[in-house]
Amino acid sequence: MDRHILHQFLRKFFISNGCQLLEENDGLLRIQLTPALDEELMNRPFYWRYKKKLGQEGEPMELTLLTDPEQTAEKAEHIHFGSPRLHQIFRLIRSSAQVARLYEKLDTNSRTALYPWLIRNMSVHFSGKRKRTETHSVGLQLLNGQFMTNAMENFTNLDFKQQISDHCYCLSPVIRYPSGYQRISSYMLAYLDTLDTGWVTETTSVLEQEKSLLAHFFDPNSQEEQDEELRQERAALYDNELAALNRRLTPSIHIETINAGIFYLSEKTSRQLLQKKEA
Amino acid sequence: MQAHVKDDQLFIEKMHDIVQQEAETVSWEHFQMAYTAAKATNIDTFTGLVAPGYLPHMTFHPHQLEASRRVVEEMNGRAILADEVGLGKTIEAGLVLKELMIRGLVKKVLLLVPASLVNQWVNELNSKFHIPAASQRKQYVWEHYDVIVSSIDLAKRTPHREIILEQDYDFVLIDEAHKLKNSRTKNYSFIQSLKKKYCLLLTATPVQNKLSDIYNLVSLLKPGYLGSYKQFKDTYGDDRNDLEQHHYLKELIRKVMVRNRRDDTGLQWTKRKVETVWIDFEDAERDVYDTMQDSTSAAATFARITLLRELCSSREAAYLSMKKMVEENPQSSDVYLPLMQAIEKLPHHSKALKVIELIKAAPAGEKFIIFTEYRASQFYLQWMLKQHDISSVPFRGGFKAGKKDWMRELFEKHAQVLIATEAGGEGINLQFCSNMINYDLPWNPMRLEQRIGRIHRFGQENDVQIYNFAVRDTLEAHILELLYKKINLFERVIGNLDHILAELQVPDMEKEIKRIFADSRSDGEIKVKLDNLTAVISETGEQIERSKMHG
Repeated sequence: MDRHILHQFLRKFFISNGCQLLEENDGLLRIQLTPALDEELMNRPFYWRYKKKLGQEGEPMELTLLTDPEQTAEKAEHIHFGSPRLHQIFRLIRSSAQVARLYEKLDTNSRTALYPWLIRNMSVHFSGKRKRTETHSVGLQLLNGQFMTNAMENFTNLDFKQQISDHCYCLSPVIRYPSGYQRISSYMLAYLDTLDTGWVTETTSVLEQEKSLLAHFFDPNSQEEQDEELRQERAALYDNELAALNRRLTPSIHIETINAGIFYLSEKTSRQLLQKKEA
Repeated sequence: MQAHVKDDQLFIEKMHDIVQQEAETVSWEHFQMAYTAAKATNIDTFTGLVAPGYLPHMTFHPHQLEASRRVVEEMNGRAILADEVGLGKTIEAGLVLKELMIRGLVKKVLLLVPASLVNQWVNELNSKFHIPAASQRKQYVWEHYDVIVSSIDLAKRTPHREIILEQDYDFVLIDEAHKLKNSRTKNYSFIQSLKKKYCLLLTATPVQNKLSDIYNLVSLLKPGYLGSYKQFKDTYGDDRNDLEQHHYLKELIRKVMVRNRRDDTGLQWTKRKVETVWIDFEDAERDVYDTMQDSTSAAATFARITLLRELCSSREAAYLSMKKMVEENPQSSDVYLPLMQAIEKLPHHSKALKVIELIKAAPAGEKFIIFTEYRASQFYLQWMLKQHDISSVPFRGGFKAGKKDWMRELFEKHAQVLIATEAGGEGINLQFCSNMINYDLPWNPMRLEQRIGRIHRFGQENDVQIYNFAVRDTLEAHILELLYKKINLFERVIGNLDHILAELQVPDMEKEIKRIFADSRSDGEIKVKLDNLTAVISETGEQIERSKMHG
């Protein structure tokens, strides 16, 4: 995410959350926060608690963010990829946008049917000796069970609304979305099966090596001390270390859903997307 | 071979709850942004460091990046970071921690560092790495903050101890870890019983004179890695010199330890320029010095040497010591009272006047650090500088951490001179200043090295100017000429000095030298004995250099 994209991203975030943009230039954003965002971002719970107790309205703060590392301004903070502020905002966005039901925005005079799609966005965490995370966006048409990969990327140029457009109506799904969700899981499992498992083998062998070293070190037969208390202490240490090893080196894959939604698309748009995919 | 796959089944219930309600759900814009945020934070590569890309304001040196990469990739985040002093172990550790945090491997963190460094660690993690670290002050902090910096002494005390031992730490770091070389200490077993996934031990001196030191350190990281203690001892013995013979052991250690040496870093170090400033006592001062030296009260030889040293520093230092001795032992007043009366009549100390002269001759605002061994001299110098309109701040090892930070800041922003009584080997970094006056010299080379290390370190952009003050024809002259010039300490960086001294089995260098002065009947004898000592130091240094045991 380069700084221009970041700038646009933040701008969109604050405006869409009802904040007023007080000042903006290339690399600077001065924002009047709403009470809700002040509470989320400014870390002053006591202020808001007292205000509420007194039945008063709080005065939300201004926030000045610099997306250009070269810029300076009074009472401003630099924001960049990796800064705690950005991650705080990321967390806020993610927790507040988990489930959607959205309708394609259409300008039409004729009756138009909308087809239901389930879109599931996922982080797939591969965790072994080291860690990496893939991002997936998979769509499933809930009438005929057709899959679409990179759904979010395909939707970039579309617009969706929270209410259905005039003259449009929704078709009822044949596949219920909970079972659609499971189908996407199966789709992902099949995909995971095709991946190289070198990292699993590597991690497992490291784990086995370290386990045997540990067992050797804590071998109760080679202990000189016969004191019961000491033996127990060492046994506890061994369990401790073993648990840490397992936590660190058991290879695992975790599919985490970022968010998901039911999207209603016109037949025309669906067809275009699927054609684009095949092309 | 397959990895266990865990699917997110909780989500579908949450979805169900929301979809069932007829109300509006989130907007397309927000839904998109959440996906973008997640995608931007997901790192789709097993290898390489991503953290530097998140820290655009930092410039890392190649040896620091390489060290951090090795710790993360090759050592699975369990390692001893053993760079020589001043190469940036803190930076490397911060980078490792940041990397593990970004990759989502670490959340709960405990850093145990010397009490005097707690604030410095907190500041550096926050400002350099954007890691929201908090220092431990109150009890509740342990559970409520994810990244805690504390001193080990505080952490191991009740009630903290019990709380800490209950936590599942993802990452534990111990600074100055060489203090943990003895496995029978309380500190050692405390660290051993911490629950920790990843662990870094930081030390500049991983092995001193026993192989068991390294065994104990490695056993904290990887129990069993070097076998059981008995086997280890049977195989390798306990003599550090044997390490050279055991290539296999060296290889093993290389896999858990990163050690950069100054020479390997390929960095251009700024130069040290050393100048001896000779001072001649005024006649009156000389008279008192000679009288004191000749006073032949045999029982007080040690005391006499101390007093002579003090007189070379300031009238006040010597006077206060005598006053204290007389109070403790009224019989000694016969010897000391006449001397005290003589001191009272002395003019300003020639050395202090020289300090004023030197600072006044420097370009306006040029900063200086003055080190003295005595608090009385420190007070005196402060007063003298003030009389001559030179701003100064004092610095003592005994200051609380907050006060140290404050003094450092005052010095950086406002004062021209900092007067310190203690090298503070674990103290502050003052690389913004490039002039140092050794107003009097410590009798322990290690402490001198630490003094110089305050300014001649990473981040110093100018050549470092060191002025060594010594009064001609005194003990000081011997120390300077026979000890320091011989071992060539000022010009070169002796990374191995600590090893050398440990090797020599001289626990207290200062006492050793005092004994030489006390037991010698002539200057010639002093010279011969000091010569012997320096010869041994140099040879041991060369030996260690040759073996280059930890590459």
